Amino acid sequence: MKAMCWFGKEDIRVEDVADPEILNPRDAIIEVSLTSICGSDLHLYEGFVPTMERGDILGHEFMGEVVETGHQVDNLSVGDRVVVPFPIACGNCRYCQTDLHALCDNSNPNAWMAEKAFGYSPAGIYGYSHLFGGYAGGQAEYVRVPFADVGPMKVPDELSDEEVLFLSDVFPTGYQAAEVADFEPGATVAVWGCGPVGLFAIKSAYMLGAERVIAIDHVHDRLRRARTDCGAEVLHFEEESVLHSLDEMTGGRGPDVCIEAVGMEAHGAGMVDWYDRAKQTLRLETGRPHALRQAIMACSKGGTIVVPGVFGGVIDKLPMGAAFNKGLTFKMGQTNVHHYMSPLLEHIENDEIDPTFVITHRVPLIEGPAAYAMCQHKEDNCVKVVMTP
Amino acid sequence: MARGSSTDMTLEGERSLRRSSHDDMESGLEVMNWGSVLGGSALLAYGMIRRRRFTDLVFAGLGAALAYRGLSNSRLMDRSMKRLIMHTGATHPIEVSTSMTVECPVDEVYAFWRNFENLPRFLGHIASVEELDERHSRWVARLPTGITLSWRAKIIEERENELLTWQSVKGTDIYNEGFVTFEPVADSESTELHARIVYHPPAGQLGARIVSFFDSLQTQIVREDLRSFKRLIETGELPTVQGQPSARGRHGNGRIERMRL
Repeated sequence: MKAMCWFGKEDIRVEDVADPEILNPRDAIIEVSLTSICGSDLHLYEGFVPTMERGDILGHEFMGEVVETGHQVDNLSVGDRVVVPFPIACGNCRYCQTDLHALCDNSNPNAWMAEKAFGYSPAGIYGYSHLFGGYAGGQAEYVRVPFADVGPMKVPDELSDEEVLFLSDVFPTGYQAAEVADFEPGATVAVWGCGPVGLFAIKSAYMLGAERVIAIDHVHDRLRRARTDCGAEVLHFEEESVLHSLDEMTGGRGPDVCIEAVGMEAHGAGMVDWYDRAKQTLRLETGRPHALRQAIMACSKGGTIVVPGVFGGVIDKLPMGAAFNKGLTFKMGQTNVHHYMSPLLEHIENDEIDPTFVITHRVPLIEGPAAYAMCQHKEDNCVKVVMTP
Repeated sequence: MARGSSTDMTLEGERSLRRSSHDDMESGLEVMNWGSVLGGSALLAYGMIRRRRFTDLVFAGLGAALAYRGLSNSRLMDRSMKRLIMHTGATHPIEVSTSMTVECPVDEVYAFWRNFENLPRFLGHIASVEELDERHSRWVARLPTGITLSWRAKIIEERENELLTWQSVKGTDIYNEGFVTFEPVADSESTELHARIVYHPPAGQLGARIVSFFDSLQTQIVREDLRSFKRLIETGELPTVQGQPSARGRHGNGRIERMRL
């Protein structure tokens, strides 16, 4: 089959590889009908995620048709059309039992490695380095889905692939960011980063009763989308002082909730940006946390910081004093997609949201490598690329 | 046995081990193969120092295995020399302990463990466990180098749903003793496991020093075994990526999956 394979920094190729096989009784094989490039895939593309190996198959946002099931999978049949959540979760452990599927105890074969890095191992993730299990990803014609009796959700025929694909990651990720902030109706929410997760976070914040959402980015087209597609007020961080503007916009209080939908490759300005870039290049820090620093400084007293943006290792110069003395609450982590898929599908079915608004490019899988480059460099107003194998 | 936190049950395990005699220890050791020891140690050091790629960890693992094999089985050394080394070594045991919580009631967890046929399913380096009688069993470990180690173990104490203590007996490749405790977690259906295994390194101070190199690897092995046990009970299978496709070739993906000696 054809699969998108990682070979190194900015070196991604579509290769012919073997078809996946059932390896465990709870596995299924899915024939992928649609897959997409996630912002977090770009961290792999840039080589910022350790433990990638040459030849690894990428992709954790995908959907398709069940073509084979292991003998312990009794809820799926061949021919079922399913969306697959990006964290792999067993459904049995104490974390899965409490809807914290992204923290599954049992799905990461390389848990020992993650324990060295994080203390305890989170769930395995498709196509996201060996630290997260080394699972082959779904940017391919076929993909093996472990614990298929728990993860994949059947989707109704009336909805197109494009309408449901983002239930695999970015829609629940944006939604979880807004939901875990647990804000009161009438709250002001600021969102750093207007990529797909940021845009879904804005929409979700309004769905959950936010009065105002202020979006921050430096790509004009993305700010335009945040304003026109999602109804946010917008700030361009290179053209105006974010801290000053947020203060003015909130009557001197600051936003109640600050969502950091950027992650380890944030863009900043001036000396601090060069400092972080140098340290990240030398691997002295693994992230450039500009947006996170700014969110902490901007957040109102007693407010909440939510981090759906992906971090992997250590970061520098986090204003802990500001966080402590303002009594901030931090919420973060990979998304417990399993928990959100079904309720969010209902929102789509009820026409409350049409997730296709983030799609800017539709390409065949074979053109994926060029699409990665376009995504990374934000060319051609790229926000979200979907690919057909 | 001062390391790690102790619950009441692990203290019981320690008491149970202390009550047993160590008379069997002497002949539990074989002589050393210095070629193996030195070659293995070099490989181990190389792997541990580089540690940049996973192949280096594999080197380290193989080196440790080789060194261990050298320590535990050789006909090269004089028997009196061996005895001298062995007796000094006996005062420096290596202790490995780890804990894991299993989402399953204690009686089921205990029953799964006590069924010796299940043991090779989660003890990754154990090829077989043969029950000889109610108290005695024969264990065979297979290392990645193709080397086979075997020993006989006897159960020192068994308390259903609480505690299992064992010790290897005379004439075996590797002297070890240990216990595993089973404790229900309050207000839940889950069980806490605490395992502690003590290996007696063969070659005195020198042996202790060499073996301490791979002490951490040993801890990893015991931890992986307990994790596999938990996973089998909770999910009925062990997660794997061995045999999945990649652009490295059809079966090129299993090499860092589980670190085993």
